[in-house]
Parts: sequence; C-alpha cells; structure tokens
Amino acid sequence: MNELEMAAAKDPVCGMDVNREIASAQALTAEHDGETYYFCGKGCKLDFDENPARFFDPSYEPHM
Amino acid sequence: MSILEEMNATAPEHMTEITLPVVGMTCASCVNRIERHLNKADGVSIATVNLATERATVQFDPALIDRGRIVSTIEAAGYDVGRDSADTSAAGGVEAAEAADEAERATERRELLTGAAVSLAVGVTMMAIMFWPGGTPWPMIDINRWFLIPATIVQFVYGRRFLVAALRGARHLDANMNTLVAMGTLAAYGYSVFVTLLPDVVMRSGLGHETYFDSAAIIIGLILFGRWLEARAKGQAAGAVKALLKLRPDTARVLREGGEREIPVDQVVVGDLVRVRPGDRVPVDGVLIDGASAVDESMLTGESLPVEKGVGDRAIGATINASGSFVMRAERIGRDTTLAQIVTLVERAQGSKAPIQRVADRVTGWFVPAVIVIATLTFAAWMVFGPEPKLTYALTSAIAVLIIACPCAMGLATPTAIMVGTGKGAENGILIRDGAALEHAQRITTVVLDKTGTITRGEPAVTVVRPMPGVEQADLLRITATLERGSEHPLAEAIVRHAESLEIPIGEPADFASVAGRGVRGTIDAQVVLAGTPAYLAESGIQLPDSDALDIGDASGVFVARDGKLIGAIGLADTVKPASAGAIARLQSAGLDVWMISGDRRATANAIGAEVGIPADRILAEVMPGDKAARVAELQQAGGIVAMVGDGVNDAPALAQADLGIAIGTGADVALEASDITLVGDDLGGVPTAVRLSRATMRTIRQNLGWAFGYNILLIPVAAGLLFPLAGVLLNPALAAGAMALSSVSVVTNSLRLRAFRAA
Repeated sequence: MNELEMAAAKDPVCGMDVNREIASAQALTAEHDGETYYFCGKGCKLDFDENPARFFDPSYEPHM
Repeated sequence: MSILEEMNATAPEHMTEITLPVVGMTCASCVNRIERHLNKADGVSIATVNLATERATVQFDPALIDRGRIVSTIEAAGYDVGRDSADTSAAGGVEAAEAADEAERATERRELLTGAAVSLAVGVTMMAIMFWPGGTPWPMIDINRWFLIPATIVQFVYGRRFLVAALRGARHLDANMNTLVAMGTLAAYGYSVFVTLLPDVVMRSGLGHETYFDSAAIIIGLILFGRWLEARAKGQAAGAVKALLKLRPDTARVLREGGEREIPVDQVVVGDLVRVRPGDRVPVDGVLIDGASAVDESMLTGESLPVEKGVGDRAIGATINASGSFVMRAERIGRDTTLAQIVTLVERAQGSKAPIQRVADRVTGWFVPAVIVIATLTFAAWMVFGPEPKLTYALTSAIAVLIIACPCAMGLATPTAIMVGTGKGAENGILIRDGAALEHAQRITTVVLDKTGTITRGEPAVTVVRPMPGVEQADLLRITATLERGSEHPLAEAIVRHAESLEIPIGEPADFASVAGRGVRGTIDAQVVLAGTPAYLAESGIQLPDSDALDIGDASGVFVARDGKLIGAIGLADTVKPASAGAIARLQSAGLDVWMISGDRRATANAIGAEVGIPADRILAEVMPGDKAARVAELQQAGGIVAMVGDGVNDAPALAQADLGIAIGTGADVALEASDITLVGDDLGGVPTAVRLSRATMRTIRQNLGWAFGYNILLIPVAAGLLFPLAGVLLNPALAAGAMALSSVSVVTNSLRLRAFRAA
C-alpha cells in the first residue's frame, strides 16, 4: 500500500476517492457509528448528514 | 393582507429566468443537491446547475420567489453565490456595456492620436530637412534614402486604415473619402519611391529629385488628427449617456426578512421594499407605500421644484429624496427603469441618421468619382498644356485635387450636430428617438395638443365651494370630506385632498353607505349627511334651490345636505397644468398653428381653450378616442406638417399618425415606443424647447454642409491649377491637406456650439 492509497477514502455519497488529509483540513468529514467518513465536497457531506442511513442501504449505488 | 401578499396578488403571471454563479461545487452530487433544493422551492419551475461553468440557471415566478430567496436556497444547500457581472437581469448590464464602449472609444482615440502625432512629426521633420535654410547640406538623393523607411511606416502602418477601407470600397465599386485619401497619399508616396530608387531614370527624364514623402506623411497625420477630434467630439456627445448612468446609486436599503439591509442595487428585485432616507438617491422605480417626502426630479425632468410624494405616488430611480424618509415597493428594476429606458433612447437617437444626412451620403457617392475624373483631367491637361517639368506639375496638381476634395467635413456635418443636439435634449428632459424626429420637429407647422392629461392634469380638483347662506365654507368642506373619506370615487378623493391641503380637520363618519354613481350618506355629529348628485338628494326628499343659487359653472357638482336640508355644493373640474398656457404662447409665437383635441363637450373644451389661449376655431371637441388619428390626418391633408402631443396609451394611434409624435409624462412604455420625442417632464414646457432645439440643430447641419461643400467646390479648381495661368498660384499637397483638416475641425466646432443651447 503506497502513501496515496493510505490517504484515500471512498466518499459514500458519490463514490469518489477522497484524500483523507485534505478532506479533514476542510472539515469535510462526518462521524457515524464510530466510523469517520470523508467527502469530496459540501454537497456530499450535507446529503450524508441529513440522512446517513440512506447511504448504508445495500441498494444504494454511489453515483456522481 | 400583508404588502408582499398584496403585491403577489396583483403581480402578472410570468416566469423570469436568472443565472447565478455558484461557488464551492466539487462534483456531480453537488449539482444534484443544489438542483434538488432549488426545484423543491416554491415558485421555481425549473433549475439547472452546471458544474463546469459553475452557474445555476433558475426559471421562476417572480410573484412567488425572488432573487434573494433563490440565493438563500442555494446557501441552505451549502453553497455560496458569487457576484456576477454577466447577470443580465441587473441594471449593471447597461453600465457594463457603456463602459466597454467607452474603453473601445478610448483605445481608438489613443491609436488615432498616436498615429497623428507620429505621422506629423515624421512629415514635419522631413519638411524641415528639405527646406533647410540656405539649402540642404546633403544631396537630395541621400535624403530621399533616409526618408524611405519612416515614410513607408507612416504610409502602411498609420495610414493602413485608409488603404484597407479604400480597398474594401473598391471591391464593391464604392468610392468614399478613404478612396481619396488612399489615392492621394499613394500617388505622392509612389512617385517619391520611384524618384528615390531609380535616380538615374529620373535624371534622364528631366525630373527633379524632389520627393513628396513629407506631403503624404502630413496628409495622413492631419486626417488622423481630424478623426481624433471627431472621436473626441463623439466622446463628449456620448457624455449625456454617461451622465445619466452616473445618476444611478450603487446600493439600496431593502427591508427583507424583518431587517433592513444595504445591498447592491442590481440585487434589488421587483417587489422588494426599499427604504429611502433623506438625501439618498432613489435606487429603482417604485411606488410609495409608507411615508412622504419631496423628491428632486430635476435630473430627469428639468423641473427645479421638488415634487411632493405621498403613499401611492411613483418615485423614479436616480431622483434625489430631498426631505422625508419613505418606503417604496420596487416596481421596475435594471433595464426596465425609467433611467435605463432614457439611456436606450438617447443611444438609439445618437446612432441614427437623419434623412438630410442621406442626402449628404448620396452627394458623396457621386462626388468621389467626379473628383477622380477631375484629377485625371487635371493630370492630362498639365501634361498637354503645362510648362516644364510637365510630369511634376501634373502629378502635384492631380494629388492636390485628390486631397482637397476629401469629403471628411461632409461626413462630420450631420452626425456631430445630431449627437450634440440629442444630448442637449436629454439634458433638458427631451428624449429624441432619432435624427429623423429631430428633422421633422423643425419642419412642423401645426401642433395638436391632447386636452386631458396633457394640457390639464387629467384628474379632478376642487374649483368652487358654494355654501348655502348661514353655512361656513370650512364647515361645508369638513363635513363633506369627513363623509367622502370612505369613498374611493375620484371626486371624493379630490375633496378630501382639498380639505387636507387647507388643514381642515377631518373626522370619522358613522353608518357610511354609498350608492354607486350617485352619492354617499353617513352620520356625522349625530346628524344624517348626504352628498351626491342633485338627483340623489332629490330622491331623499331634499329640496333643491333654483340652479342660480348654487352655480358651479362647468364643473361637476357634489351637492351636500345635512339633517334634511341642503347646505351647499362643491364644484370639481380637471384643472390646467401651470406650465400649459406659457408653453402654448411660446409655440404660437414661434409661428405654429396650435390646436386642441378633446373628447369633452364643446363648452368644457372651449373653457379650457380660453384659459390657455387656444381660440374656439382651433378646438376639436367631442372627438371619440378612436377618431383622434383621423382628425390628425385631416389636418395633414390640409397641408399641415403635424406634431401630436399626447399623454400615452389612448393617444398612441394619433401619435403614430402625426408627422411627429410627442409623448408627455413618465407614463406608459407605449408612449415611449410610439412617439418620436418623449418629454420626461409632466407638462408642455418641453414642446417649444424641442422645436427650438431641432431648429437650432438643423440650422447647424445646414451650416456644416454648406461649409463642407462650399469649401470643396471652391478649392478644387485652385488645386487643379486653374489659377496658375492667371496668378501663378498652385496648391501644395501638404497645404491642401492642412486646409481640409481645418474644414473638418470647423464643422465639429460649429456642432459643439450647440452645447450653448439653453431651454427657455
């Protein structure tokens, strides 16, 4: 695992790979059930905050 | 019902679209999110967001949602809205376009001035070397070689615009003044290049080594200088538009979400409540809903006295609030404001051509080929009959003819005068649609004035108060105003206004009731009071005296009874605007046949006519609204060139029928569009001023054309060498160019003299 892969997390809303450090610096993170999630931008974070359960539904397909 | 709801109820049902810049989007889900939020919002029909351009385009019903709430919806979705210069819904668009035009003009002016300065410097230096006192210390052949490169630069870099334009014209077999400049300078330059590069051939053919590089450079320099002067004059004339734009304030104080916020004026939307404090400029057009003030409208109407404004009155953007504080509801913003429409009208007028200019253009069309023929003949005549060196004389004379004939000044004669004239009109509250309107205005012989709303105020005012014996005048007014306060009839409102203006205390009536079109009744001080038509009172058993006792003349009467007895009558009539009589007198003394047209009974119309000085045989009374245009046509058939002055919508057909339609007041947009001239002020005062201004402008144009043509016709024979056999006089090409530029300058200066025009 190289440095980049270590830094990358999957945005649960849109499915993009997100740099953990950059997302953290911009406060684009959310805590849910003890897990930290990282987001590409405000839109995804706000969508997630409003209804996190929706994105853990197995039928949910991350999409842009 | 809140004010906002009231506005929504009356707002027209139509969709508006705005495009907003969105800051902070990173991926497609951001797009989805904003679209979802916007499309959920009430009043938004469709919203699309573009990630690449970072723009949200929203179609919405302005009655249900406004820009502010669309912005807060986007903000609630987690994004910011940036400031957008390309927001076409904003008034900033007008200003930005104007700024871009100005930047373009500034660049053009700079290029012209640089070209003129460099060309003239090169030309004058060359001339100085060639005319060195006591002869040049260097051989002419060497000097010519030094000159070759600077002369070529001037000819093809700074003189490029003439060559390109001449070539473009030649492709369409169209010869214009650029053709003449190009031919004149190319002839001088080409001959000089030939002399410089082939000195041996020149020597053998008996020609001198004199070159005309200096002449070509000076001609180009002077013409560029003339164009620069023209461009500068344009900038000054366009100043009227800039001056108008400067009137617009940058910010507005709006009442939104319970608070007062100062926002950029281009973010004000229709329906916003705007507070205007004393000393502020009114930001947009709107209607007062609270407070009262006197507003200085002089920048738009020329009227020096502040205009009193109360609830229900319109306030116009860019005017200055002089005294009180008020809140108004924004009705017209951005490009719809009176100010923006004025700017558009002024621009349209300044870019248009008067028919008299088309004459000038036609003349130029045959003038140019004629000049080319004369130049050819001149060349031939010198070659055949001229003294030695024939070629030199023939060439210089032909070149001089080409230069002197340059119709520069003719091209300037009309546009400069019209630009200054229309700009001057705008300063005086006279908006002239185009050059044709300006030309028609000076030809008119007959002026037809609409009565209601044009000569008169168009609304009733109390003219007579006739109490019965034993009743105080103030008492009659107090009782009537108290009763009529509940009525919305225009006569009732006029009576209440009149009582208020006399500071008569008005009470509250009890048991108020009204019978439409007849009268009202109520209880005041425990007594039953009735007010209305004589018939209404008679029905209620009131005894009316014989008509002489309560004579109110032509006015409409409101008869008042208290406790079963008649106590008096109040007469109301449409009153003449203060400026009408003076304006009509000025039109008549300017030799114009002044008519009045009205749908009123002849007696009423004649009474108004007598008041403003229009004789009975010049009054067209009892004219149905639809027949006004026909009556104007009759006057035209009788040989009159007719100007129609009206106050808008119902006069529109007559305005269009007339040779010159003049709309009065800030009224309907229809008026602006249908008329040739719009008077920003509310009265007739601008009509005689408009006529005088158009006469002054057309006089200037004729002087200009006479100057330009006369100059050309006079000097061409001199340039051709006709005076040479008689007096030995020949025109040097450089001097010809100087004289020509001078004629352009004098034409422009003559036009600028119009700036001294003063409204009476």
